[in-house]
This record gives sequence, C-alpha cells and structure tokens, in this order.
Amino acid sequence: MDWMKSWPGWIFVVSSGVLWGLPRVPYYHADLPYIHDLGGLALVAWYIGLGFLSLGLYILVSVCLRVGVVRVKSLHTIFLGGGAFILAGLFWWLYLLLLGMSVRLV
Amino acid sequence: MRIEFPRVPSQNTFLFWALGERHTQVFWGNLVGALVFCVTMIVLAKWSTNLPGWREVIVSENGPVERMSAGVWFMAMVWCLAAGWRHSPHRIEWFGLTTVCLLFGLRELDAHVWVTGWNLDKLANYWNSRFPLWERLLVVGFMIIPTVAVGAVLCYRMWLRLGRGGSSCAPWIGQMMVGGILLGFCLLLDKANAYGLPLFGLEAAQLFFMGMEEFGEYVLAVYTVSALWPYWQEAFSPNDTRSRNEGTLGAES
Repeated sequence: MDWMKSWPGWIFVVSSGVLWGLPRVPYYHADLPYIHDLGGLALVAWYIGLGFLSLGLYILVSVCLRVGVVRVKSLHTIFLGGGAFILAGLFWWLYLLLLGMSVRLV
Repeated sequence: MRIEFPRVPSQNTFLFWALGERHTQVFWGNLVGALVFCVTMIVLAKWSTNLPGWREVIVSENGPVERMSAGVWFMAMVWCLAAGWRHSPHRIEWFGLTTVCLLFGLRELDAHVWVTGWNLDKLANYWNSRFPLWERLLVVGFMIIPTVAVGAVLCYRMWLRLGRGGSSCAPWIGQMMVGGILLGFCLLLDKANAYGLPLFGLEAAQLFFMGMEEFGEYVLAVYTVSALWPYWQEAFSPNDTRSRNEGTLGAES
C-alpha cells in the first residue's frame, strides 16, 4: 500500500481528473479562457478545487492506512482533510457560478 | 537548535530507492522518476483521449500535456498552502512556494495573456501606448511588484540556509540545482521558439522544439512535486502535530 502514499499515485489521480474529468464538466470548452469573460478565472477555480480534492483524499488514505479512522487522535488532521473536501466543493461551485454568470453575459 | 527547512525526512522512502546516506542520488532519482512518469502519462493520454497524433497530445494549447502540467502546479499550490497552515515554524517558506506554484500554474493556463488581453511576458508591452496606462500600472503594482517581493523574500531565506546546507551537502541544494536547470531548459526552448529558430532559418523544427518545451514544463512540474513530497508527508502526518508546531522537527543538538 506504499504506492498509495507515494507521489506518482497522487499525480496520477490529479492527471486523471484533468484528462478525463475536466472535459466532462458543465460549460467546459478547450478555449474556455478566451470564449467567456470569466472563463479563465473559472478554470483556475476548477483546478484549485481539484488540488483540494487530492489533498483531502490523500489525508483520508494516509489516516486510514496508518491508524484507522476510529483511532485518529489528531483533530487537526481531521479538520485539514474535511476542510480540503469542503474547499474543493466550494471552488467547483465557484467555477459553475463564474461560468454561469459569464454565459448569461454572452 | 532545530534543523532548518528544507530538510529531507530520513525515514521516508522514495519510489525508486530508499533515502539513506546517498543524498547525491536523491535528486537524480527524482529527475529519472519524473521523466519516466511523464512519458508514461503522455502515452496514457494519447491512448485514452483518441487524439489523432502526438502533436495534438503534446504540443497543442490546452492539450492533455498542458492541462496535466497545470493540474500538477495547482495541486502543488494547494498542498504547499496546507503545509504552511500545518507547519507554523516555516510558514513564510511554504506560502512563498504556494505563490510560486500558483504563478507557474497560471502561466501554464496562459493567464499572462487572458488576464488583460495583452501579453504580460513581453517587456515591450509595458511602454506600448496601445494599452491603457492605468492597466499597465495596475499590472505592475498589483502583480509584478508583489511577485518580485515574494521571490526576493523566498530567495533571501533560502540564501540564509545555503551556507549551512552547503557545508553539510544537504540534498535540497542538488534538488534546487536540477530544478533550476530544468527551468532554464524550458525558458531557453521558449525563447528559441520565439526568436532563435526564425533567426537561423529553422522554422521547420518549431514543432519539435514546442513539443520539447511542453514536455520539459510537465517534467518540471512533476519533478517539483517529487522533490517536495517528503516535506508534505512530514507536514500531513496524521500523528500528533504538537512537536511540529513547536518547531522540533528533526531536533538537532
């Protein structure tokens, strides 16, 4: 299971999200920053959301592999993992909000 | 007295070999790992996206390689930000690295072009009267000066550690050197595409050089993550964070 805690595993997760996830999100277009007023900012928000998702998943996996969920002593770690998932959701909501506004402007 | 950041935690294992006393092998291991990983991902991207040729995969703007590079930079940005939140003794370094990764990610997404509509990379644009003066001043005041300030602070703090690190042959010096060489390689190819190739009548080779540039940028992003990985592992360790926040990470007598 060391593979799950090594960098190639996590870059693979992020790359998979970009390769297969990004083209399937609402409003996505290859020229997104250029065809919508707020397309560039929206794309940045989407990427940051992906970064937070990877961080949340990493903490979840490392906690599960090392000590087991029920035996975690560090609330700090739980806050960090939970916060990362929440921020991922918020940034993806921001992506949709920005592009929704941009589409209405167009 | 505590060991100053950056320091590679000695207990961590890299993908290719364990870290022991062979510090000089660390950065070469990172580089070889990054190269192998990037080649594998490019082949996977070609296979999975059904794009007609390698040109569309590697060279095209917003193609798979460029998207993957941006994804890796933004991942690094978020992880550095979180490490800074967790790792209070070296918060300035982590937040500096956060800014650096954000800038690289934005550069990969061509933000230097779409933010204002004119290329922020070209110095000549800053005294080009075609663009509004207030816009150029805003870019200098809110983007260039803060970026230079962050870079200066980061360089200063790294410089302070360089003397101590150099005397003990710390692996991060080699990692930074290899990263710098990779960055220089990418910049050289970027400028060669713009100015060098037309000058020497090598326009036909432009596609090859563009592909090499995109590949180099992807390797640089992956290499950065691989070099920072042990520090992140240390920062996100689910064990008690008390000792870390007290600054006793790797206490040195």
